[in-house]
Amino acid sequence: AAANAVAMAAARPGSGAPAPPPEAPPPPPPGAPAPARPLGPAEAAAEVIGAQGFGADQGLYSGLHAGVHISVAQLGGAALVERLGLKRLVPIAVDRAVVDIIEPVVNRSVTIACTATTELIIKDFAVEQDEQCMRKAAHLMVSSLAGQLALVTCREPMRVSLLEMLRSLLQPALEPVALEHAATVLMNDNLELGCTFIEKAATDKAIREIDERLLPAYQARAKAKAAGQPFFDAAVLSGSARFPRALPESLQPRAGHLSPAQVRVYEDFARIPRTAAGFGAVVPGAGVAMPGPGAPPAPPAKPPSAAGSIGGEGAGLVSTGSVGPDEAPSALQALQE
Amino acid sequence: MEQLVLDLTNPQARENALLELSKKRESFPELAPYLWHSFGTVSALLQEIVAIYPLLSPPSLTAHASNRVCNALALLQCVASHPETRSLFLQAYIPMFLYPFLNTISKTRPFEYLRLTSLGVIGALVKVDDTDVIAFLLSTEIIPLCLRTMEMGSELSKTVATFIVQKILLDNVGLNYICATAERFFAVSAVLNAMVAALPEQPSTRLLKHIIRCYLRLSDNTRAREALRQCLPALLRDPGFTVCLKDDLQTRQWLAQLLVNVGLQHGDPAFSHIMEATGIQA
Repeated sequence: AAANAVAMAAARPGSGAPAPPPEAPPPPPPGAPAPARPLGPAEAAAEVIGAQGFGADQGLYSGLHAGVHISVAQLGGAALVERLGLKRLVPIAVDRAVVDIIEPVVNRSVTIACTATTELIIKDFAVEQDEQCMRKAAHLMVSSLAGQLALVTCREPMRVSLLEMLRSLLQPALEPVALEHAATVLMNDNLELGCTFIEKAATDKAIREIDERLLPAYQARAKAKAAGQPFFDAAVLSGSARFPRALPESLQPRAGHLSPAQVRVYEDFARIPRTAAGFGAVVPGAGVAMPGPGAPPAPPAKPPSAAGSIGGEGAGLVSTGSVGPDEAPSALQALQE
Repeated sequence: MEQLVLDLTNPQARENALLELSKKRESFPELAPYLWHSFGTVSALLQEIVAIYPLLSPPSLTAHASNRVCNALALLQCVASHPETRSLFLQAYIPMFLYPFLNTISKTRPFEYLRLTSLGVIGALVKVDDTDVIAFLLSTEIIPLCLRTMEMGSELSKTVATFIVQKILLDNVGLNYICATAERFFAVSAVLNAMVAALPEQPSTRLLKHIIRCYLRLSDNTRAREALRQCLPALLRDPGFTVCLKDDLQTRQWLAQLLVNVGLQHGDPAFSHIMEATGIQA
């Protein structure tokens, strides 16, 4: 059931969502549904994950167990924690919840992150000679994208799954009201732990996969270097398309190496806060830092042609108040026939 | 404009550049290829998007953060619309970075604006009637996400989401996909029915127009047409309800054709005010 929850959080409403068609259309389906898998104890879970290729090392799992948190006071004291065997049960619940949702979340996040990274890195590094520079930027970008996608995708299903696992493990020992309380406390205690585990699995897998995808690009650069030739990605720079050659001079790629400012764009991926709390801690001006709550909001952009054909009445939704343009939003452009 | 594009990759200058470029984007026909092909620009826009993810759950998106990311989305909408960048945009799976925004449920204004702007990007993609776009979207979760918005969004979000589903249905690949299983057909028709049922409370002629176009297109499929004979909402045959279309000849024609397709006879009172101007023969 919680595997369904993943699919729902990834996209699906409760109303019986269409699944990818049997005859796969051109791009590979990035959100393939997970097959149902029987749950096992912690060791079995580790095996399943390893077998599926997610962080096969046991070290990752022992880290998971070491991170389990139990709010003893909120649960009513150490005696109860002892009687319920929570130190044994909670890690099992976390394991099962992770196993329940990890596969579709990681696969989807890694596929999307690697595809975007491959396309953009190949394009942006077309004149870069140094494969290590390219590789480093690719790693920074893909781990940030895969990690953020995994976190945003797994948080709700993790909440649902963890609650469900805790309820079923504690159900024999507790009355309904106490059960609900204990399961909620323990879910909140360990939600981030489970999410972080999935994030880590996604970033690790994404880095392995991006190196596979970019291997030919790394090799082409190393080969040019060994031959004492300058590297130049002809597929990007001299194809039949009008761009990038039609770019104005100031936006044209320069042969040789990227500038420190350009490399910095990719280094900024490492500076994106991964939690809401991180927003306050970011150094102003670094990466994608958001100004703090005291900063005046920028005036909203007014999409100029938006109000057009549907009469501007759409403005009612977003016009007053602090967010949104004074005219109809750009979404309305879509409706102009 | 070139300087503003360069500014997008400079963290200190980015916020202002996002604002200025999204305001002026209509006046630069080459903006989309400049954005795509200049160094690091799309990567910087992706940073703007994923940086917002931690604010989605629990919901803590501020008006300021919402405005800023919506300006970035407005630039991506240019890229999605432009014939020289659209396929590159799809090839890099950029639309899928917007899906977490469509999956939010908070009703606050920053979230509503973010969902609407994200739908606008997808709307810009489907608007061009490119079957590659439809095939791409069908390989992702866009239909469930649109159905979800159609169930619980604002009137404007519902309208844009219904428009996207309409455009997907108008493509043969899309119609076949949605009518391939009873489950898919009923998922779509149930949501359309629910929207019709909610219209008397909150009338919206433009939403009704897109709903009718969706039903009409579904009725082009033989099995869907059979199903619609049973499940088409009775309100669509109620002259008291459909009178709101009196000034919209196009939609009246679609409705008349739909009613004919599901087997209504010429003399049916449902046609009393729809038919006179349309010339459709039952």
